[in-house]
Amino acid sequence: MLLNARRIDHLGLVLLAFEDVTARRRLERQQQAIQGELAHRLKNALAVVQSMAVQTKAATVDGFRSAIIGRMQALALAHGVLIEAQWRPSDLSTLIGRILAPHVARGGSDRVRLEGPPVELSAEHATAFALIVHELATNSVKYGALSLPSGTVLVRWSFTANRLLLEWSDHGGPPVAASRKAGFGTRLITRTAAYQFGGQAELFFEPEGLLCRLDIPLTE
Amino acid sequence: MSGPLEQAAPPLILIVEDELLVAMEMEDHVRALGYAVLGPTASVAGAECLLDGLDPQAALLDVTLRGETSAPIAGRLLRDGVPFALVTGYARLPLDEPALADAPRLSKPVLEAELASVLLGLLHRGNPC
Repeated sequence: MLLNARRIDHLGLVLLAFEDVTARRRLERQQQAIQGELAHRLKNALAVVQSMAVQTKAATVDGFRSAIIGRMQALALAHGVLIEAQWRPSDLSTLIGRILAPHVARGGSDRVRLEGPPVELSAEHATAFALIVHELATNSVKYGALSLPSGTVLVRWSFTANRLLLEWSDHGGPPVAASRKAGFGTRLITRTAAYQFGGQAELFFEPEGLLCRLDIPLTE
Repeated sequence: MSGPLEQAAPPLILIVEDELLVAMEMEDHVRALGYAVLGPTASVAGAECLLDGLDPQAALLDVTLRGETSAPIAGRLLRDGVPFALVTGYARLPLDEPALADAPRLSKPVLEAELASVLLGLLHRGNPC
């Protein structure tokens, strides 16, 4: 309640006004909370970008530039999906499609097949998940199925008892060298699955192409 | 009291940070400064597990974790006499929790030089030499 008093001298009266400001105060508090949350997310996103820049390694300046830009773009695309969803849970398939779009732009989108039921990802999970998908797509474009005109990628998932099981497989790419060592991208995938989701990622460099299995609990 | 010369093992630093990439960067920095790392871990429960096993000499705590804050860990570290600094994305975040109010702050994104001096300060707290 807001109380206002004014003396009206010539009448010898005092005018009192009570105003119910509950709604206005609630709105102000909500706005403060939203601003705090946005500031937190912004600084967090910048910290993540800095960490990516520090940890991205490449043999050449051009290699570094394209690697860091790719990762930043994946993060930006994920934020785009989140903003459209107003930071509420967003659709897994939409997110994967959006992250893959720059990678399949030239080859036609029919080269990547997505198969699975609707699954919602929280805002926190979505950015981490986007980075996993980006690393898998980058691998496909550089060494796997998407590096040849004929190759295809199949992404299949199921969702039961709050567990997301997702399988990414490259088909029709060049033969995979068994000696390929795990780089930062591979480490990022396995560590993200464990650290951000409390789940597991397994990567198999099959002769046919990369196979990645994600087992992720999604209890919100 | 053991001086730095008698201390064979490097000081152990606990890292609590829920953003993997930031945690990995922090881990690299702390190791590069010559310390050993406990963690990193993303949650209060994870930190509790680590603290049940080992006693760090200092800790770096991200304030806002997924769906929780570092306050319970800060409380435990205060009771155990382990100094800690708070890493926060939002420096003016109102920190009502008494356990968090007096600790030194590092603002995200963290600079290596700042991290180095804050860690030195924590480890030499109360030691004029």
